[in-house]
Amino acid sequence: MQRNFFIIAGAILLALIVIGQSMFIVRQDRQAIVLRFGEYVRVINPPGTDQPGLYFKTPFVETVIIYDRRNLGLTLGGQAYVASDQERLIVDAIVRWQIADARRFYQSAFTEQGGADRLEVFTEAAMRRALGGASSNEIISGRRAELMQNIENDLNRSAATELGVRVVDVRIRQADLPDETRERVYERMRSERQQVAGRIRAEGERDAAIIRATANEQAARLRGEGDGQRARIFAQAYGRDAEFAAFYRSMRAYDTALDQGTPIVVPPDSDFFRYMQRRRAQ
Amino acid sequence: MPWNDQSGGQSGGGGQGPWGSGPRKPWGQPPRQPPGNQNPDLDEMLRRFRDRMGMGGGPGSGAGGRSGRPFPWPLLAVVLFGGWLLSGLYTVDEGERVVVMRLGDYNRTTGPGIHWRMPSPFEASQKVNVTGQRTDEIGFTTINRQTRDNPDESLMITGDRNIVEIHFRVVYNIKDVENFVFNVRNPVNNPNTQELGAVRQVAESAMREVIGQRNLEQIITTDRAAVEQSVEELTQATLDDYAAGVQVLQVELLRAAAPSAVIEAFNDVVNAGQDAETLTNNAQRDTARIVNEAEAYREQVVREATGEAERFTAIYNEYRQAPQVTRDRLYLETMERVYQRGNLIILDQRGGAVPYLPLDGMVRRSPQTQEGAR
Repeated sequence: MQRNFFIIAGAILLALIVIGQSMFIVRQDRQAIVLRFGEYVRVINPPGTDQPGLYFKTPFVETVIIYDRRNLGLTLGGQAYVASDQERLIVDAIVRWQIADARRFYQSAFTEQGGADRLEVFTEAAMRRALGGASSNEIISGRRAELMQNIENDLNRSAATELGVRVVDVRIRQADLPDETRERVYERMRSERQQVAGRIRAEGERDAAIIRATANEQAARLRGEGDGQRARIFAQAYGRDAEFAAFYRSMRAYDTALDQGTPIVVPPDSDFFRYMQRRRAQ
Repeated sequence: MPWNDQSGGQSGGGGQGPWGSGPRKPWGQPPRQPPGNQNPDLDEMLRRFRDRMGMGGGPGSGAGGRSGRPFPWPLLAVVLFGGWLLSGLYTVDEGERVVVMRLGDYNRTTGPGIHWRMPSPFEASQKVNVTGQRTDEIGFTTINRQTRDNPDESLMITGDRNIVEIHFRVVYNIKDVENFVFNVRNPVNNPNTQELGAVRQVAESAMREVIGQRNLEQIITTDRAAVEQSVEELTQATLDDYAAGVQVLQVELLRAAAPSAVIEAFNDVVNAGQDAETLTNNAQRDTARIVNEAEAYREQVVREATGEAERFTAIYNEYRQAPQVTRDRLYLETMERVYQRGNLIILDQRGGAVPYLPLDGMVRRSPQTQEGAR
């Protein structure tokens, strides 16, 4: 009886293995190819179709290889590319791709990693072709979107048929100057800024000088007005008797002009001493 | 099948079955005994099994009895089966969605609450936080609220071949769970493998593209909002192209400035602007002073002149009444004051020769004389 129990258990186990070997699930985001002794039989749930679910195969005879069906990412490290104007640029990129033809992919790449490696080589070649025909300015700014589209189209012609993949998108992440050029760029940026700063300061000085000059001009005009008015007022007043005005003004001038202790030599017969002499004469 | 009809083809075997037993009877005449005895044994076993089942399922049949009673396998089986069924229970928090796949095929998306799905091999579920905002920081890393620049990411080349330092943040959430789960691998950063998510990569690439189309001056001053807008649109369009199921909510440009290597020169431009303004401000201030002084001078001069003129007019009016008297008086009064102040030397020049006068000494002596006089 004991022996019979083990036989039954063994039979159940065997049955489970056979069942396990004959069924497989293909998820929504996966695709599968079925191989009979390594020979392609069919593909299940390739992109563009909707066939996920439970599938059967002949146990032990057929094997299943599951691939991802999603949009996969491939990152290319920074590589130096020479633009058409002979300038070197460090460009790195991301490629979004998908296994489109699982049979072809299995034949040429076998594993997903293998496919990614080969796609990387294809992409580098495509980038070299596209970037080599563009100037560095076009790569940096002008035609970046167009270049990315060109690389994508190029890859979809070359890599797609070869590898059985579809390139969804190629995006240049960074298109940058090499490190040794960077310092020169900084130097130029600095000098540009210094130039701007110098210009702004000079403009400030110029503006200040203009403001001052305008002020002085206005001041001179005001002073002139004052002087002119003064002259008119005096002319009007003194004009009534020029002789007396001269006398009066002279008197005032003597009074204010001669300081303390000014030596004054006066002849005794001056007007001031008129009466002294008269008395002496009498 | 080869053994169903083999009387013809085989030359050497001569009608032998594949197992070498009787002709045309693959299973016939079993050579050994044990298979023959199998059936009764099996029946017996099944019967015993049924008995045990009854015992195990029976009320109070003492499952734990030790008196040679067999282990209660059926109970264990029921418990295991129940546990297996229960393993399909799951809860969903507010803001989360769970995608359920039946035999790998997308079946349904369930919202918050408690739910049951078929247990393991039949259905599988994947939980995704949909409303929670996810944030990717690019160009810098935040550690304990302190941001650290990440030069490899932050330095970007502008359209006019300058280098600008950009720190920005992408805020996004999930707009379509099914697409998010099934269409793109690694849509968000994977903290375990350090692999960058598609959203982050696309956003960085978009930012570099946008920065490459503009000039440094505008990027760091006027175009910041426009840069944010363009990056947001470009990122969203690309992700929609991937059908990634991601909604970009916001692109925040946190820093757009000259790189630290040249920041001093840039700050100096700002300083220069301040300096220039200071200079013009000083000039304006001087203008006010100069003009006011001039105005003051004009007023002063005119008023003085008016006053002097009136004074003269007043005296002149008196002078006309008595010309000679007034003239003499004015003369004498003035001379009086003048001679009082000055060092008067009375000298008769009728002698002919001009005598030597030690003017120097007299001048020097004079202050004391005045002191004494007062």
